[in-house]
Amino acid sequence: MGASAATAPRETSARIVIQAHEINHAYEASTGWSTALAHFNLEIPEGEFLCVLGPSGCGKSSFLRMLAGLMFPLEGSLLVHGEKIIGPGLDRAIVFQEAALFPWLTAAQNVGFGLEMAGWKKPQVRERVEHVLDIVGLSAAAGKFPYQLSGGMKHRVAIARAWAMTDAAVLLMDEPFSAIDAINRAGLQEHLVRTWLAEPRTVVYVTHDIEEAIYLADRIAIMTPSPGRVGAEIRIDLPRPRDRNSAAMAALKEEITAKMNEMERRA
Amino acid sequence: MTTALNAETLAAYTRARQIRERRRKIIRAAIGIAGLLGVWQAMSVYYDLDLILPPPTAVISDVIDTLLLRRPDPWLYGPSIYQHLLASFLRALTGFALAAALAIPTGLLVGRSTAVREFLEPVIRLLYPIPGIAWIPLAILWFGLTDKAVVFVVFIAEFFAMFFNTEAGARSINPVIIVAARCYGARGFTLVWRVILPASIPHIITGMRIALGGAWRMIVAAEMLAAKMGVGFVLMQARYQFRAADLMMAMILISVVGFGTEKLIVRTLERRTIGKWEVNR
Ligand SMILES: Nc1ncnc2c1ncn2[C@@H]1O[C@H](COP(=O)(O)OP(=O)(O)OP(=O)(O)O)[C@@H](O)[C@H]1O
Ligand SMILES: [Mg+2]
Repeated sequence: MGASAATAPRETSARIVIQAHEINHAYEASTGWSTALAHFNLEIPEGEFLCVLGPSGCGKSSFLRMLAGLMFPLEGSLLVHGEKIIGPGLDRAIVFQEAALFPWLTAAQNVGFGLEMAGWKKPQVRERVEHVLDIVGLSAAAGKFPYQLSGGMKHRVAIARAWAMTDAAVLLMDEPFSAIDAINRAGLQEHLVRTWLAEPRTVVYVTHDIEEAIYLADRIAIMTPSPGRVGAEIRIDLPRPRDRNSAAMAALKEEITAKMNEMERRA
Repeated sequence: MTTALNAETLAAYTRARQIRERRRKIIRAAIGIAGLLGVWQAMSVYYDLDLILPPPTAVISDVIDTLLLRRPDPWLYGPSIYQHLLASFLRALTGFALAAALAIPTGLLVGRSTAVREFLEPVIRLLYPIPGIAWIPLAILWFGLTDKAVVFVVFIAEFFAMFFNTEAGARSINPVIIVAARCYGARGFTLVWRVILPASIPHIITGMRIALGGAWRMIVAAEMLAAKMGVGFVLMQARYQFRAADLMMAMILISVVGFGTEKLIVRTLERRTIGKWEVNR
């Protein structure tokens, strides 16, 4: 695959999938309110692999849970294809930090779960599940139950479950690999990139790992420390699959680290 | 590097160990049972208690004769022992099934819905301390000396085991599983049927195992008071007739049927489900 084919399609005219405008959010605790997001703005065009990068506690998961429809911003608007999010929906598919597979279903049944809920017919589900399992390299494990899979395989099934949802406008991932050891994590990231190249989708990927963000993203939205907002955006134009040890990566890492330190100081 | 531990040798070691362990278990069990029989025999003979504590030899031959339907003495209990056992078994099963049919859905709802819990939990907690046998007089008042009375008592008594286990199962589901299910489009009845129920299965099976054993015990108690047939009825008749050997024969059959049911039905169910679910927890 040529380098140019491997880069993201980048028409500036790409349709906007997600639009977060002036989101403010705070949690009410026994000690009073604590602000999690303040003046959070972000637009995500179709087909983009966006990483949301920020220090722990800056509100990344809060933003993702809002996108998933599991909670709602106190103020501001959050739109998918121009429509307000009113709850979980099949137009968004999610991958959690835990694989969160259904232990009583096989890998294939787990991947097909959302499609069945969406009312797909059995043969179509089977075809789509086979295809997606093939993309993530787990065809051989289709009939296995989660307890028969390694931690990494479970996460690939979880990714396949999200990817299977063809009608999902956006795939949401909240640090899906952060609980995995470094070596397996690198492998999973490669799988993810391969999957994305095989079938590009709009992805919002939350992480606090700078290298991971550089390895995966078309664009990185760097969040300020709490209360979080997008403090900087960086476009990563390197062709995929990327070389983790390249000078370009190192330079980007340095640039981003500097930016984050600067935000930390100003906070 | 000549004597590597190859797979075959290791498998042979495993087999040998398993045989050893099984044999040891059988021997110890036999010693335990023989001890009980020995004490029983000794008591019976030493104190000359033939009338109220017949020796195990007599009871065992009574069991065998009864099962082979070739008793030397007259059979005082109407239909054959198999009909009595079957009647009891079917009643126990019916009561158990009714209890399951109500307890499992209720348990799931109480476990997952705060509203349902706040409505129902006080009622259930108030009824729970009343023991199953305390319901027998009321059951007789309502249904007379019929199958229904017996089944009703079993139903009431076994409801709780299944309810509390199911509720605990539903309540302890990993929240991220529920969130995932909702994100992938499951809600309402589909969520209960496709996710909450299967996720609670290990607890439900535990509840069923306890309840099935309980149903068999309760059936005997209820039949002693409220039935004209069944093992409980045989027990009570044997007492009226002062036939200690028949009494103990019936008790042994109760044990055998209970033990067999537990082994056959429940263990199979457990093996088929729990492994799959719980390794992952
Ligand atoms: N349910 C909640 N109740 C109260 N405060 C919360 C709740 N969830 C999050 N917060 C607070 O809101 C802020 C943002 O939390 P959030 O989980 O979004 O951060 P995050 O960027 O995902 O952090 P991490 O990288 O550690 O996962 C934190 O200060 C956190 O303590
Ligand atoms: Mg988080």
